[in-house]
This record gives sequence, structure tokens and C-alpha cells, in this order.
Amino acid sequence: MDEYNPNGNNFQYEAPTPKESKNDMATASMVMGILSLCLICCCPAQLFGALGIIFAILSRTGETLHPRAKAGLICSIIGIVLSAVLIAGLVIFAGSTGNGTLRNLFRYWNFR
Amino acid sequence: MKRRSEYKKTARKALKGNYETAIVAMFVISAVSYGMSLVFRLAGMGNSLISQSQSTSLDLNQLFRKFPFLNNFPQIRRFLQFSLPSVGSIRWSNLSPDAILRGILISVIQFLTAWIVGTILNAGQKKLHMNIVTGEKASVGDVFWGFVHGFWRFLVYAVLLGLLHIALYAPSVFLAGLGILSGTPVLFLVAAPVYIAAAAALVVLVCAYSQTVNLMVKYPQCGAIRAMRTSRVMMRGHKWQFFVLDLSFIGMVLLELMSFLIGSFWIQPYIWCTKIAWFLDLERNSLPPVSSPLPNNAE
Repeated sequence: MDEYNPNGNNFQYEAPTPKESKNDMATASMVMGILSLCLICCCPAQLFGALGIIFAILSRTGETLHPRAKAGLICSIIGIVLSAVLIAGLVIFAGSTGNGTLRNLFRYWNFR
Repeated sequence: MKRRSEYKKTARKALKGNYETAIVAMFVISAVSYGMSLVFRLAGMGNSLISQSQSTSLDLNQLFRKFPFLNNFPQIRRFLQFSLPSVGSIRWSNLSPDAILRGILISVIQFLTAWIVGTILNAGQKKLHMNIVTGEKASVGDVFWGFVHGFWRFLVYAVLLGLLHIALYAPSVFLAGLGILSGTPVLFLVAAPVYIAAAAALVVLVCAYSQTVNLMVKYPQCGAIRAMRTSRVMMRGHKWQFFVLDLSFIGMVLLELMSFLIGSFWIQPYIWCTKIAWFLDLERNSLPPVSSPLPNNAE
């Protein structure tokens, strides 16, 4: 153990523990990815998913993607794919029932 | 020349911490454009043709009597009825010649103002992004840089580029017009390849002159003609690279569309910065006679 030196400088410098570098874009990408997963049944899933992918790509300033950006990218892609599958399934189901559901849906959207 | 990914990485690094400036600049440009159209509207000058004929009723029958082939497309009629009531409600015969003349004059003034201001703001935006890429101090005020640094140079270039477009597309439009007037469909068949050839030639020429504004922005004393010549020389052997660089942003543009254009606030600065990084590298790698005399031998 070091002894106290009354004449010298006793302040010991502590080297900072290596932290993850600040990357706002990566964080934004992750947030968008989570939002796109949460809003999978709604149209904004595409919007948030697209923004998540954009932010993930733009966050890359080094050789590899930031872990948060990677998470955001994966969540966004899953969100977009699932919402597209959901919409396609809805349209196919509505069309296959054959009782005019699709027609009613289009009428509801004013596509006459 | 480096790989494409290197320029993109340079752009992303340069934009880190500068997105706010780039986004606010985009907002400022949008505000200026919107403000201009608002001024025209508030002055009671915009849409004068439509506003003067608002009292008249919807009269599509006249249009369909004049062009009977439209009766084969009921969708067009429905579209006009529901989507464009203002167009359908114009009765040209109800307008006085003075009103028509004033409307045309105002439309021309509005178009010219938007075009001039847009061209100069575009140069300012390039200046802003050049400052971002080179690491110089970038501020939102840079978008107005073009107004105080020889704005006529940018206008001369825009006029020449516009004339180039007109000259190349004129033959195909002329042939198609002749086909309509004379009722000979063969002329349409001739016009189509002429149009495609003109479009291809235009792509090559636009690529050749693509660095003109960048050169004028980097060298404020450089005139439009000299910059165009320099750009053409610089781009020799690099046009395909530039074309592919442009094409490589298709994915990003699709994402931009998917995000209902909200993503454009981040994507557009990224595209601009990448292209400017490419230009700076191209200029660095050009032969000395191409770039070095520019600042001294300005027009």
C-alpha cells in the first residue's frame, strides 16, 4: 500500500473505464426500431421502420455498426416485414371470404 | 479515386454533429419557397385564372365533346370530377382577354422568381455542405451565400442547361406533335427512339457538366462558361463513376419514400455531402492544368 506523502501530490489519477462512444443516431435507430415493432398493426410501422434503417445506416462512421444501431436495424426490418405480411394477409383474407368484405373495405376508403 | 463507400463514410463523419445545421437549412429553403408562393397569393396574383372563373359551374361535357376519344376512358372523367374540380371549372370562353393575359404574365413572373431564387439557394446549399465536408464553419446563413457571390453565374449555367434540355428534347416533341396534328401514328413510333436517344445523351451531358456549380462555389471568381469547360475536362473518364454513385442512392431514396419523406431531412444532406466529397477527391486527382488555374484566371 502506498504511504501518504505530505509534500507530494497524493491525488491518484484513475483512468476512465472504456465506455461505449456516444452515438445519437444509433440510439434514434433503436428507438425507431422498437416503435416499429410496437406499432406493427398500424401504418406508422413502415414509417418508423424506414427511419430506423436510415438512422442505422447513417450512424455508421467506423468499420462496424454500433450495437444499438444493429439492434435498431434488426427491429426495423422485422417491423417492416411483419407489418407488410400482416397487411397482405388482411387483404388476401378479405378477398377470399367472398362476401364483399374487400368491396366494403374499398367503399370505406372511398375507392369507388 | 477511392471506393464509393469511402466517400459515403467521409460524408457520414462530416455530418456527425452538423445534421442540425443541414436540417435547419432545408427548413429555411422550404420556408423561403413557401413564403414566395404565399406572397403571390396574398397579393391576389396567384391562381387568378381559376379564381376569376370560380363562379362558373363544372363543365366537363364540353371537354368530352371536344375530345370524343376520352369517352372510352370513364376513369379519366371520374378523376377529373373528383380530384380536379378547379381545372374542370375553368371556362376559358368566360374569361376576358385581359384576364387571360394577366394570368399568363403572373404565372411567368411566379415561375421565373421561383426558378431564380431556387437556383441561387441551390448554390448556397452546396456551399453549406462543402463547408461541412471540408470541416470549415458551416452556418444556416450559408444558404444565402449565392446571392452575394455572383448569382448571375449560377443563372447563366441554369439557362444553358435548360437550353440543352430543350434542344435535345425538341425533335421528339416536334415529331409527336406532328403525329397528333396530322393523325399519323408512324410519327409516334419515330418519336419514341428519338426521345430515348435524347434522354441518353442528356444523361451523359448532365454528368459531364455536373461539377460546374461545385467549381463555381469553390472558386467564387470563376465564371459559368469556364466552370462548365473545366467540369467537362474533369469528368473525362469519370462520368460512369458519377452515374453509378448517383444510382447507389436508390435504396436510400426508397427508404425516404417509405418514411413519407421525413427521412429526406437526413438523407438529402448525406447525398449532398457524399457528392461533394467525391468532387473534392476528383479535383485533387485531376491533372494540374484542370483545376489550378481556376482561381487566378477567373472570368
